[in-house]
Amino acid sequence: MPEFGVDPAPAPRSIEDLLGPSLLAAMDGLEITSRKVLAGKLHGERRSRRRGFSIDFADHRPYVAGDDLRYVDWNVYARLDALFLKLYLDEEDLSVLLVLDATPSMNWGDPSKWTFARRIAMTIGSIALASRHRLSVATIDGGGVQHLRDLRGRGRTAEFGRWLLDREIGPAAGDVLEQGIRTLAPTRRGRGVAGVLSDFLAASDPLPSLQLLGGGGDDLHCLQILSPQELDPGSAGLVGDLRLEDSEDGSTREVTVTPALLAAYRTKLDTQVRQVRDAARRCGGVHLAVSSDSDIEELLLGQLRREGLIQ
Amino acid sequence: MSWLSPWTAFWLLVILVPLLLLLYILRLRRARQVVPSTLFWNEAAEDIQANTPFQRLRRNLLLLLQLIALLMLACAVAQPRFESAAGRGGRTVLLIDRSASMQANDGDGGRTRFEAAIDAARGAIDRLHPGGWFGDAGGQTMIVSLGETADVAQPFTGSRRALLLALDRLEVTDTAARLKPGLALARVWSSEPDPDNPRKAGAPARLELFSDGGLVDLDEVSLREAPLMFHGVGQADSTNRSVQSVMSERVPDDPDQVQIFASLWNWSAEPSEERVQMSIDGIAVHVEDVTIPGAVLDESGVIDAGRRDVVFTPVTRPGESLIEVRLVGDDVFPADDVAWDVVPAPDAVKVLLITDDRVLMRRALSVLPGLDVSIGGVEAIAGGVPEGVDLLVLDQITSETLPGVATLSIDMELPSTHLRWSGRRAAESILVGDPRHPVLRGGSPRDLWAQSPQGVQIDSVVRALLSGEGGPLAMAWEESGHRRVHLCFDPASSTWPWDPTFMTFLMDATDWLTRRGLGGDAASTDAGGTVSLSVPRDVSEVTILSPSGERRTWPTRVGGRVSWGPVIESGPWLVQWQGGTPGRRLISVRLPAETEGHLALPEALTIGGEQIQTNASGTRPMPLWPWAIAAALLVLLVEWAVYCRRIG
Repeated sequence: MPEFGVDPAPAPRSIEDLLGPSLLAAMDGLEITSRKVLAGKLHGERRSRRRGFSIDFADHRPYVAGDDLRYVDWNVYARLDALFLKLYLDEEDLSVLLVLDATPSMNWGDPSKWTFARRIAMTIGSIALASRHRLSVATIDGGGVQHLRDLRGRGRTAEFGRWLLDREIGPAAGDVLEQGIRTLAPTRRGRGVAGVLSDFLAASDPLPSLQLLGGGGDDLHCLQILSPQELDPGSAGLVGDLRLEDSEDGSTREVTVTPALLAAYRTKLDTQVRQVRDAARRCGGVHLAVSSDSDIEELLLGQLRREGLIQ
Repeated sequence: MSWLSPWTAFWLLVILVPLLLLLYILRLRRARQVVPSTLFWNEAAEDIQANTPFQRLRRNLLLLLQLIALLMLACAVAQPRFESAAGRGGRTVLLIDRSASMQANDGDGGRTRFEAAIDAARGAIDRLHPGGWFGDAGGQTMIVSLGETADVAQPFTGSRRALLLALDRLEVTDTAARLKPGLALARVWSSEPDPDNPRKAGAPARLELFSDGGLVDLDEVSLREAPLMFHGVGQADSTNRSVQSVMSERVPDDPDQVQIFASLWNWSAEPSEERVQMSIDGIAVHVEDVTIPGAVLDESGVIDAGRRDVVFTPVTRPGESLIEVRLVGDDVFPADDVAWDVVPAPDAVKVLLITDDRVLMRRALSVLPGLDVSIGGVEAIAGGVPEGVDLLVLDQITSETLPGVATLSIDMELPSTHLRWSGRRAAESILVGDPRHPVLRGGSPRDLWAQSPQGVQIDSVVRALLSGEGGPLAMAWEESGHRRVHLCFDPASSTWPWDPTFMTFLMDATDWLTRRGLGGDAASTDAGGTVSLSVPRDVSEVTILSPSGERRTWPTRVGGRVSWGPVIESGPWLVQWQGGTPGRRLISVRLPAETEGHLALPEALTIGGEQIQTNASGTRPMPLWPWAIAAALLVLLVEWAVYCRRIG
């Protein structure tokens, strides 16, 4: 019988382990979208609010010396006898940032939350690379931030996957996620989509750390990953008199698991999920609580599409 | 229901239940479980504890089951049981009847009454001394066994083990049983504290009698307010038939011929067809089918057994022989279906008559069969009684010393320590005779006249055979190891010689004095009595072989006498001796079938006018602790299953 909360499956060793053939097929034709039209550094396949030289008309402005005469709207000149330039919505590249929580609490659950988070990251990242978006990915743990920056193009998918596979769970140290995002935010180049994949199991309020991402203009998506054993420990077999050991700080708590205690636990968990959701919304982002045993294909084509991350 | 060790169980619970709860609260050993974060568990547990401090103990099936198991174990330690009667504490005397009738096997599965009585007594000991594992309930109990005499099998004690061991040592006998000696013992022991246990006696000890009710002296005893519980054993409808007695005698005219008589009794109301077998020295010589009439109730409601006397054809047996008469067939009391008698060898008794040439005694003795009579004057015993004389007849002869042989003294002042002489009395009539004495078995003389008998006062050792207005006229006793018969008057100066009882008196007196025949020397006796017989004077010890084969050596007394008893086993006993003249004697010991043969258990005992109902006996308290243990094990099994299910 498997140990409670431990994924008996081996850790993924290849990109195929992370994605799988059916998921690869489902990814075909998908692209990352942002609910916000953001400026990119390069012309990509993404429209930006920055007016430029794309095909979608956005506005006019008076001509000033030095402007490219090719964009003068001659029809307006004919009517108004004044030079105006046609402004277009420029298709800019989308900056996609994926932040993975790599603290010990993520290395728990059956299936493992850490494996699930990497599979999600691999999926979204692969879609982003296939869409020629600029992809950055970082893992945060007590040892600091591991960062892979500015990947672009389908050809970097293997590199990205290898990087993900090489990442391991690091130590825990206080409010790791907030510290990590605080470290990561100033290095952010461009704006686009920021996805945070974490269980958000921390005593502190998640709002400050999320604000660092969402407040910068990124379309924030918080994926709160919880294992089935966390969501319903009673049904998963957590009963009796136990000494619970915290996977992050090693602290223990002796409990007698009764239906009343399970109900109280569930209430606390729901409160925490609600708190993360509120924080994400206050940052203009989207919160999605998912179980680590969820079907990723279903998640992509269902919830993430509904939330506007995938199109 | 009672509890043998309630306080032990109480203290066990007082200690263990809080300990168990403490263990649950402290949770000394808990399974370790890694969780992503204890954050929510901390908050949830604190919320729960804030609301219900004993939440840990609530709804905990394992704890509940363990508490139940603990209660069951404590219950077992307390040793609950159902019992029939109370009466614990204080002093109790258990009176165990071990008479012959207790051998009747009319109990369940052929169990004898004695076994049933012992079981019932064990039950009483269980009740009085529960013998809890961690202490006793107090009280003192004594065991007295009832036979012809009463014996203390176990003095007052609080030790259940000692009492049970004493019960194990008891054996049933072939004797009758009397209650009076047992009551006397109980009173003595109750009023005189045991030196080892000087506890002042208070109220009379409770008495518990385990018997089939066949005690022979119930109308002679009084309970004197001592509470008695009668545990009756046996069946009220048990019937029996028995060989009541066997008697064998040599024909006076032909001593080699033996005449054998048997009396057969039937205690059932219906006549009984029986086959009777007579054996001599172990060889069956006669078999006869007889019908024994049924028993009847007399006017007072007492059952009178049907009787059939059988006279067998005389047989020629010149030597000592063992006669056995047996009823062929089974009944619930086999022990009284057989009886024995011993007919001694027809040795002539040497009688020395010392007389001044008086005619009456010389002629009378000369015609008695089996006597070798020699006659002499007082000078014949001046140097002591000659060797080989069995009986000395002193006919109006003065003697300064008590002769060292059996004596028949007539109208003389015998120097006995038991007699005090007081001159002559006036002529008087013989008024009273003692027909129970063997010397008068031929009949007591009545309304006869004796001239100037001796005045004499006798003590308790001496038994008056004949009495007149002025005191004893004839008496019998035993002194200095020999039997004595004395006539206080001269028969020649009385009308007795013209009465037939005179010759039968002489015949029976010589038999008794020389220990021949009925009441004589060890031919036969009743179980419960003492056997005494003469052996050559140079024999210092004899070997006694009991009917069951037990052999033992017994010393002789001065004068060549050997006595032992009480004899509790019926059947033929063999006495052998070595020395100058090796020899052997057979003694038949009879089971007292007259008192023991009536087996019907009475509904009530009448003791001293008080009716005591039969109490249900044989029911022992039923211990419940094994059930409590079983329940505890069952609960633990359930607890184990629940535990396995949880951790699995």
